Amino acid sequence: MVQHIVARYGEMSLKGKNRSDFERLLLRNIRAALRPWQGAKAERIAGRVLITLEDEQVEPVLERLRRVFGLTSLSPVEVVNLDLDAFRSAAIRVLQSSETPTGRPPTFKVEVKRTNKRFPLNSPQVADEVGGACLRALPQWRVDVHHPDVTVYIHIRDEEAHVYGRVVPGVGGMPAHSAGRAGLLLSGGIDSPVAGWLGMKRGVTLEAIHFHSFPFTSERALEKVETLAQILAGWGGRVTLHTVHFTDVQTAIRKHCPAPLYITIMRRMMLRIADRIARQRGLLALMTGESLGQVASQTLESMRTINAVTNLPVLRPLVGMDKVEIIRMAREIGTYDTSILPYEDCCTIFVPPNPRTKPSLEEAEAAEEPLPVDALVEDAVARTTMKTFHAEDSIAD
Amino acid sequence: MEVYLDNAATTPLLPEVERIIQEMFSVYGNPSSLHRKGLEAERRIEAARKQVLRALGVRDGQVVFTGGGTEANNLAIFGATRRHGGRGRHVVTTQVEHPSVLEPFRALEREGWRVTYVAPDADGWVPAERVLEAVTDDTVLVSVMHVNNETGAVLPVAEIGQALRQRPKTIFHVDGIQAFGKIPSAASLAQADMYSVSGHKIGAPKGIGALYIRPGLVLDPVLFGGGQEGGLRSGTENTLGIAALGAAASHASERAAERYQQMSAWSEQFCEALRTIPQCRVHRPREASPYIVSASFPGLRGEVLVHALEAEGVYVSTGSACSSRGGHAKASHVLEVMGLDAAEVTGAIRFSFGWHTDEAAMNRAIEVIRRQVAWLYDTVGTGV
Repeated sequence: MVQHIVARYGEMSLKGKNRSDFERLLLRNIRAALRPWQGAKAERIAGRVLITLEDEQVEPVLERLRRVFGLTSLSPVEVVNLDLDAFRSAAIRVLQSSETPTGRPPTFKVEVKRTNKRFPLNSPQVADEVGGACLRALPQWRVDVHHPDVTVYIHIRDEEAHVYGRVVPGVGGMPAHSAGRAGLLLSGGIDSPVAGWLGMKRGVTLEAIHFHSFPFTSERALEKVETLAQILAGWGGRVTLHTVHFTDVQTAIRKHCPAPLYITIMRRMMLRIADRIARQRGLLALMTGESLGQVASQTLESMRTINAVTNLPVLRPLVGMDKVEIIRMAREIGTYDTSILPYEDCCTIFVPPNPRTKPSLEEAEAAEEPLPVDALVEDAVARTTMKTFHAEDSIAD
Repeated sequence: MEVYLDNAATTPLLPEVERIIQEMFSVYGNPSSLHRKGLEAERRIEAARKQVLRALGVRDGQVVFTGGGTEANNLAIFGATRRHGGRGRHVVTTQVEHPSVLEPFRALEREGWRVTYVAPDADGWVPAERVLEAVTDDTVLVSVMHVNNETGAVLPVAEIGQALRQRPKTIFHVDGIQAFGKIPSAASLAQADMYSVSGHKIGAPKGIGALYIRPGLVLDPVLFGGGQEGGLRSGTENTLGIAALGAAASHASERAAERYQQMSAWSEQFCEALRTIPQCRVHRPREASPYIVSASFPGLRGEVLVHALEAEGVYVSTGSACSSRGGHAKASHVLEVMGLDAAEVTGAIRFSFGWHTDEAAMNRAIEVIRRQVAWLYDTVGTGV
């Protein structure tokens, strides 16, 4: 049997060309997300997207569309003719298929929206008619207009009406790829995938940059980062991962620089390399999973000193979040279980016993004096490898 | 050049094993079937049983094929204690056993058994007297490994087995997983009532092992079902694996003695060469298998060393591979109970040799170790 899903989107403040670009991109993203389901179609209908599909596709497609950025809510709907009897029987089907509480009679109300003003009955009249029919057909149900267990929505449109009882929240945000590309410094930890996800939610196309320090970090650690990139691609449609060979940079820092500044200088080198990759790839900004004060090195002083090596905006979406909030979000987006796998990332080695928590810029610059910065950056960028992950592959898994 | 020195974790297939597996593809019958196909498969299993007995150096007794070494150890420990629990409530083992022995004993403890875990000396070796002193009239089972999988210590199982003959009510189990196919006639030497073996440590595939049970000893099964393997291991026999284990056992019977001598000379050289690396501490028990060498590089992390050697095609492991859960090294319980300091435990790696290891490979490994260790100490210093 043919079924339908209505997908709603917000960001109503958008106007003019912005709005039509937004809608076009959103529709394209929805169609890309639907690719695994043969025959499923999406079309725009007055401020919404209507998806036509087969019965058994409804639940998996709902699940998939909940991960499409820009959608605020979703409802499986029955599309019926503009006819009161059709409304009545569809409403009864909605109640019959709803979950009901135990121990007391289930309650409902009917809510009607009439955009088609030529329909002969007005909204309260339709609600009365349909509600009465429901009570007659299903005598165990009661009406409760304030706190109903189920609300039956009837949307009377020009050509047909939509009848539904379920409203599933969407993820919200802006359509993927609506905001341009940014480079995400992706470690194997909990924070950076969440930062990347928040960027994607606002339309950023991610190019992840990972610093790999074999033999100090293993191939399994790299695999973990690839898994994270794949999970993020499941949300954003596509994530490109740049893997930087970072061992030589770290050993050079170890050789030439004072131990308390290892971390500061390492972060500066990472940002320099990321800056270079961003320029090559035309990325508009960098993103990191830093938040203030979470570890000793994430102080404002430290951020300023590290940030000084790049002119690109460095976005830190987690700056206002507590660790528990970050962890909760990591669980929700599905990166947490991978992030906590116990492989070393390159920050946890070379940790000196007494790192400077408030390094000044002058201090860092002086400490870098003996370091062949340009040559190291050049070499690391030259040895960077690139791999792209697509959403379809995460579904195939 | 690739040098695989992680043979205590697992070994590549022997060429003759590959051949027999190919051949067994067409011997697909269920050994329990009454028709010719079944008989054909059954014959292969009986032939393999003889090959395993011969490699163990025993003439009679039962060989029960299992799903591997862990299962053989579990069958021995639970099978004996369940059957003979009326004789007492005490069992004896050592602190250096593999988890597939230690964990069954911990499970017995939870069931109310008294378990004595005998401590090793500082070199990882366990004196026979210390084990025998722990044995009382109440002791139902003594389980001691033949060769330790982390240090290569060859424990005095013959002495223990001999002494336990005075106590016919105490059953003696030997975990011979690292000894089988390497020490000639291992089970008869150990005078064991039960002896566990594994296929994939000697060139057979993973998923096949066996428990030898001396004539007259009765066990309870751990798995219940169709009653295969004399009722001790229900489930349709893994004919492919069994034939492969037979072939690997037969290979070992023919060559074990000669290989042991040869390997002794080579591993002696190998240890000598390691000792010339200034930071290296070789852990050599007084009695040690030439197939396993353990060494520490204090200040380095074993895990990092593994990856550094891997970069030049040399494959080794930290402690035992089984304890590196999910690819992350866990501190070795064996090295800890030997009283090594934290830096020695963290910086420990294990070299283990197999049927295909030759002198050239070991020399090449030394060369790579020397280079990588020097680079690592230079890079991270000794303070990390």
